Amino acid sequence: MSVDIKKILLVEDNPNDAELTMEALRSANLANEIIWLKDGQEALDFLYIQEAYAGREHINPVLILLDIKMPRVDGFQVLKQIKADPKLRAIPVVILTSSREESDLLKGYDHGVNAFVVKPVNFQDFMHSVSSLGAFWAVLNEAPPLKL
Amino acid sequence: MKIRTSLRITSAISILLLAGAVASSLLALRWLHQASAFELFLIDLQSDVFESTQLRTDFLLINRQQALLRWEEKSAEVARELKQVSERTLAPSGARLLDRMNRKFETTQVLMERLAELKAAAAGNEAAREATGLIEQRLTNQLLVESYLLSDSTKLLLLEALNDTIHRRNNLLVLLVLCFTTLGITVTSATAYLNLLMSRRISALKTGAEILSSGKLEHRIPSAGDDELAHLARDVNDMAEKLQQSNGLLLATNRELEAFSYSVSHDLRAPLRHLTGFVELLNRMDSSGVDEKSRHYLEVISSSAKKMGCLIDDLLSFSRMGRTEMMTRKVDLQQLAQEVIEEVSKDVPPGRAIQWHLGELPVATGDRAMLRQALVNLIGNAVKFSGRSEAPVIEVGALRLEKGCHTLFVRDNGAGFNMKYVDKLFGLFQRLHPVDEYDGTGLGLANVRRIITRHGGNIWAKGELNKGATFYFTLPIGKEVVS
Repeated sequence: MSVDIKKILLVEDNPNDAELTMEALRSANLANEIIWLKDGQEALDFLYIQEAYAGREHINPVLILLDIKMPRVDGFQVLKQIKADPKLRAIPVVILTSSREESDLLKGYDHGVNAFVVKPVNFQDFMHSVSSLGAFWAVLNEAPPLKL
Repeated sequence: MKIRTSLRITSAISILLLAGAVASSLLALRWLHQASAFELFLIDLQSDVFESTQLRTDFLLINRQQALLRWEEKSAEVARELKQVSERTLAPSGARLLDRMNRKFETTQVLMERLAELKAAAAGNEAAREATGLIEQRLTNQLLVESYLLSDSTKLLLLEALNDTIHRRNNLLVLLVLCFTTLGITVTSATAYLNLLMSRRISALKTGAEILSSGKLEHRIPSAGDDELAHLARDVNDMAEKLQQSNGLLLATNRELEAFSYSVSHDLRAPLRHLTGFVELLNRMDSSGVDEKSRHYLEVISSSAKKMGCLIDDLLSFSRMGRTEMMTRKVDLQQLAQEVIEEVSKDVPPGRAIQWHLGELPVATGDRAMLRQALVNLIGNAVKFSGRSEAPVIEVGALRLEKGCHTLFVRDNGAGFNMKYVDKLFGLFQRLHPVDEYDGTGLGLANVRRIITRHGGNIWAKGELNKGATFYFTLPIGKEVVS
């Protein structure tokens, strides 16, 4: 009997940003397993259960928080692949980024992102945004079936 | 080179032909004049001959001595005239006539002398008169015949001269017609030739220049040949090429700047976020042991980071304002001002009631988004600097239309400023108040000025400390153009 642990996948290359995000999530009391991956390639490996992550349980995360600028494979490429794959596209993806460039917005929505959130400089606001995000997607929202 | 030479040659030929035509016409006229002068001369001769005949008859019939004398005078005249005629070159027929005239004249002279002698000898002598009577008769008859022949020849010569004159006049007419026809043909062909040489290419140049000035810098004017027009076409093409290149450079520079801005926006914000984030986390940690001073220091760090965030945003938007393409349309300033006032009012705490006065604003031509930003800054400033006023009144209006531009103003009765520092108002990062009195980055007015300048207008301000400030700006009335 496995307990339904709702995983949140955080794809962020900057450790400071990652730490802040995870702190915010924790302080919002989202008792979820937060998986932090440092770049797009790792994220894809995880999702496709390959390479380093071959052999993990076949459970999809309930939410993917995605940064844009990352080495190797960037956020947009990950997003594109996820949304193109019928097995993965149901997973909600929220782009969490520092820039509000219109070109990025357009690109994100073009690839089918579920939400686009700009990381505010003010940490209070940031905490608020992240916890709202978490509360909605991971708790309130009815997630798609976890099993593949 | 070639065209100028062609033109010069054409002019030279035309002038030469004209000179030639005029010269030959003059010569022909003189030639004609000579003929008619001769005519007149012969008429004179004829009348003299006639007179001399009259005088002779007078003498022979009436035997007046006076007549003889006068006849001698007249004869001398005729002789002179005949000599003059013989000095001219005559046609063979004319020469023959003249020859005949001379001989007849001589004969008449001789006969007259003989008769005169006879008459003189027979004077007063009845017997002598009878003896010479027959001889006289015979001589007289001969004289008559010779005289008649002389007259006749003179008449014939005159007729010939008349014919000659007519003939010459006809020739002159033909010459004139020929000359001017030649001139006409030459001028026409020269014009046609030059037209052929130039008009097509001039029109290609004109069309080419029009296409280039309309913005299609890829167009090139055909430039075959080596004359001035070909060189001109090549020069224009070179100019277009250079324009294309510098345009390309400008576009590339703009793109670079765009990339730079993107980088700034993305990369500068991340460390800022970390600053504020971790300070906040520090604050949330067990703060019982943290003293007042440390808390204060952390507060400063946090607010500085926040401030830097605002600066970055303002700088980015300021930079963008200078580079974005303007979408020039008709903008209803009245409606825009109303919109901005409503938006700005939303942020005003409910305790402060601002009295708004919105005058009649015209419809201007410009970029709506940019003008909106300018109004937001100006009206926002008015609100901000009225923060400490008891009864803030903010007025937005337009002055009377003058000299082809709209003049608008935003007036408040708030903190105002010292006119001594009016020059600093619109400078980048320049502020007239310390940040703890009134917040701000010092970019707002610089941004407004940039916007107004891009629209081709002017902005200036008048203020008085603690009484308020008025910001005036102009917007020229222009045609609807998307630049």
